[in-house]
Amino acid sequence: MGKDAARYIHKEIYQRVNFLHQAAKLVLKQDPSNYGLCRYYISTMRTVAEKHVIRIHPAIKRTYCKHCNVILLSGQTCRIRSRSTSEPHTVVTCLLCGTIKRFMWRASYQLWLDKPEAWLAEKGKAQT
Amino acid sequence: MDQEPSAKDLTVTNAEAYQELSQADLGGKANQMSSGARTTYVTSFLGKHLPTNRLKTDTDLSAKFESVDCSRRRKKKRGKSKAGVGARTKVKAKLDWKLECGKKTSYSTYLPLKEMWTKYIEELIQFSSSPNLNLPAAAQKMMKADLHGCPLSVRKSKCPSYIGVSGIVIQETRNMFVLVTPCNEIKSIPKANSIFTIVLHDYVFTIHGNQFIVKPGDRAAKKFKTKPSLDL
Repeated sequence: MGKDAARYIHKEIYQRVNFLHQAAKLVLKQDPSNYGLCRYYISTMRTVAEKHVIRIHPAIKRTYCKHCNVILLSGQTCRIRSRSTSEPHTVVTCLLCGTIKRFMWRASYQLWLDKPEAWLAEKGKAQT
Repeated sequence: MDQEPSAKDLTVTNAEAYQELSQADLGGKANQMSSGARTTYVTSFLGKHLPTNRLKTDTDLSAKFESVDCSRRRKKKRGKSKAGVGARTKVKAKLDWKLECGKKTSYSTYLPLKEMWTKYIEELIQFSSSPNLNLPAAAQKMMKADLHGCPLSVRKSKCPSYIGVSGIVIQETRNMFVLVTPCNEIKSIPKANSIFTIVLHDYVFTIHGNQFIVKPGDRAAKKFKTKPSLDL
């Protein structure tokens, strides 16, 4: 019981974040010139997550522009290029505001969530 | 020790919540567009990708001129871009965005959004699991839910012309609900001094607009207090 309560502590908020993200995607898909509504949904999603101090999963966080809150779709709202000037990486440029995201191709790189340190419960079990 | 598992469990929920409502789950309905939705898609796509000059018909020749004598051609000066008007400030000006009231859009564009919302709300308030729905808890959840995409109608209002307006909410701001009506119009209705209803599976939810004057992002964190309701 206790564990279930802890697990679903913010379930509604996660559902809301998820819904808003998908709504933004859907709106942009239905009408490609409707950037405004898409931006509005993403910005509400971000404020909701901020209010509850929830971290948005990288899988979602990487799909919108950090600066102008639009969903990045390759060919429609963003340009994806790979470069290898100093170190090979991917560059995602938002076509509306020109903000750049860079993703390095580091073989050893792991997301924080995939690292064993992020999983506090297992760490706690190992210690006890 | 009690607090330690939370981080792991939160990540788990995040992943779960993401999977539960995936795009594939919506069925083919998001992919099947109605004719109205298709035309809006096509027009906006064409407007974006075709050069605007070529689409114009060349009837007005008075605005066109070409110089025959090209002996004096000035070099273009490359001026410095003025400080302070960077790309970012320009974008900021663009970001202040408003839906145009009374503008024509197609209602059918937003039908998939409505469908997605009903799926979302069914998952949030489990209608099917228990025959006797816990109504206070459902109301609590409803207050914290997101209302973008829900079918809403105005039941009572101080302004008589708002009464009876119904449509899909496409934007919720602090003071307004922006609806798309079935007659393909965008209407914005102030929350203050009106009462809204949402019909869901034989249940009717009533929203008192005066209590709802909060930003949609802040609403989830807000504690609702009982206020005296107005007679309308």
